[in-house]
Amino acid sequence: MLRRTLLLAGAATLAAPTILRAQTRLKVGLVLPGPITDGTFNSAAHQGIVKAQAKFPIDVSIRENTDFAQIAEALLGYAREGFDVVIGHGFQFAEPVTEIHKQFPRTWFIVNTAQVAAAPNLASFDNRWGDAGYLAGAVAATVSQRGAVGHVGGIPVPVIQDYNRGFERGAKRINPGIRVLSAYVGSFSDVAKGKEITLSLIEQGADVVTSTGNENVIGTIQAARERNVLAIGTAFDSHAAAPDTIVTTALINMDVNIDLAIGRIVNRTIEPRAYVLGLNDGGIGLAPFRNFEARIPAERRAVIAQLVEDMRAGRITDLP
Amino acid sequence: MEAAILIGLLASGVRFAVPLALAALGETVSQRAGVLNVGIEGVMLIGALAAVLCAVWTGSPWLGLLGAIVAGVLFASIHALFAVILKADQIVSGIALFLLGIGLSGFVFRLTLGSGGRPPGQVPGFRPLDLGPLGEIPFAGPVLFQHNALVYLTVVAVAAVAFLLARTGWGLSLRAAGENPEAVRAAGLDATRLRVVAVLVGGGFAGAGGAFLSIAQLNGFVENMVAGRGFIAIACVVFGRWNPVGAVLVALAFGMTEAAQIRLQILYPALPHQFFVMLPYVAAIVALVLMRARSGQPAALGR
Repeated sequence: MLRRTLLLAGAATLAAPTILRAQTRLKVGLVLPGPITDGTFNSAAHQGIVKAQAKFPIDVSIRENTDFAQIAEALLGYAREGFDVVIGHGFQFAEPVTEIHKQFPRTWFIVNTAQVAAAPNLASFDNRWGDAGYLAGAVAATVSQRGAVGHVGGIPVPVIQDYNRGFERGAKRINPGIRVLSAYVGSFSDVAKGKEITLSLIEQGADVVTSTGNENVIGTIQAARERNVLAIGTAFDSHAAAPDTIVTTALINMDVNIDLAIGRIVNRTIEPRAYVLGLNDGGIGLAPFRNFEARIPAERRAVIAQLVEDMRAGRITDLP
Repeated sequence: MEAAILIGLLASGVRFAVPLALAALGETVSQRAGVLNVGIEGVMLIGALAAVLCAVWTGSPWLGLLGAIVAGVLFASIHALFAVILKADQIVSGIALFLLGIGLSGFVFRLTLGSGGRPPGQVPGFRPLDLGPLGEIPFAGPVLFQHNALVYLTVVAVAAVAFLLARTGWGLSLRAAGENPEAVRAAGLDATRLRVVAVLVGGGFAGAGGAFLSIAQLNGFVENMVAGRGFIAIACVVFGRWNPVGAVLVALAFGMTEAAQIRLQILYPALPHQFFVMLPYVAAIVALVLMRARSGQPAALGR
């Protein structure tokens, strides 16, 4: 009996390396429009791929700062080198990927933060940005004292427009008479202009501001802190950047998308479809109030908590 | 309320204009000596980063500014070497400087403050000055007298550059190097040295312009934060007809248009925002068309 167990154990140790070898490592290429140090959009993709690396047997190559004109060449480069997965981070990848995915049937093409899909090997992952904006708007209206709130977008790409619509509707749900201001920087990296636009929103009465995009978000937070108004963070939990300015963050967990995409490819459960992740999938969320827990009356916080529950249960009808 | 918006607009316009004005001043000096530097965008990025690094390491925004000027001069010396001493094509050398500036500033940022994907932390920066009663004058106070020290230094620099170029022997030689370098040599002066100095001065001003963005208007560096201001500064030089005061006035006009467009966006949400984002550039093209007949371009520019 003992001998047989030993024999089995021996067989198992012998067999284990073979199994590992059979399970080949996936080569993943990630193409980013900006630098991984931006603290928002591109950092999120980087965090997601780092998480996935810890969980799955993958080798990762990252290409940063890819201009619109370089997208096709970057995608083709990875595909020709035989990468198993090529991820484009941003809606602008949707069109180029649609054109080339058929030529490389052994490669999975994933577009993050877009909604596009095609058989046999093109899938996309997106977050419900509009829902995140709705939560941000509701919180902003809750803490606003002057009755005006503002959103500063980087460039009005579809997800940012969704967020903008959600922000306005969420704010009006809490306070139908509130003024909702919005403006766009016209750039994702022009921090100075992001700050100036935020200052102009504050001059026009906004006492709670939020911002979407990349580095431009930093300008909004700085403006809010300088003028002693409140801010709602977006995407990343940015509490630490300004703990007495940022009330909470409307989380857009783009890292979850990448983690999930790679997990599905590794498990072979991925389908050529557009996955849209909301509150229930962990695709969006609301960060804790932290320093503001005590400053917001309990009954107001209860209203927000109820709103989150309603969103989870699908009871909100005016989501973008 | 309306007055508050107008005050905000004019003060914001000044803040938009200063980095353009500093870079345009330097580019004016360089171009008057006959050297086109299309790479000042890259020099501004290097300056912006150097300012943040020096301010963080020393705790002083003034040393940050000094670091930015030194870094701008050193970085522009690459252009002086290739475009002036080795007589390479000025445009090609300038583009190389621009691309190198983007890459190098991002790379060094990651090696130093930006590692780990953290958002930029607090950086010691210039604060608005307290000018006492001047700052309390209705309307003019908040528009003119509640800025940081760099804004006032820029005004001093405009006067100094205008005086040096127009009224000194050095300015005359420098302008001659931009009009007819052979004549300068015939007069026994070193045209190459004049041009090298002009390029280095241009680099120092561009570095200071970058510093304004990173330690005065904001507190921190992000990659590519200059966002095209270096190229707009070159346009300011042309619209200002190679006159330092003219270039700075154009920069001011551009800054005001920029400040106006972001406010119009908020006031007219129904119009597509691209229309407003485009306004400053439309103004620039209209100005170019109106100015075309009255060129003051140095005769030997680019040669």
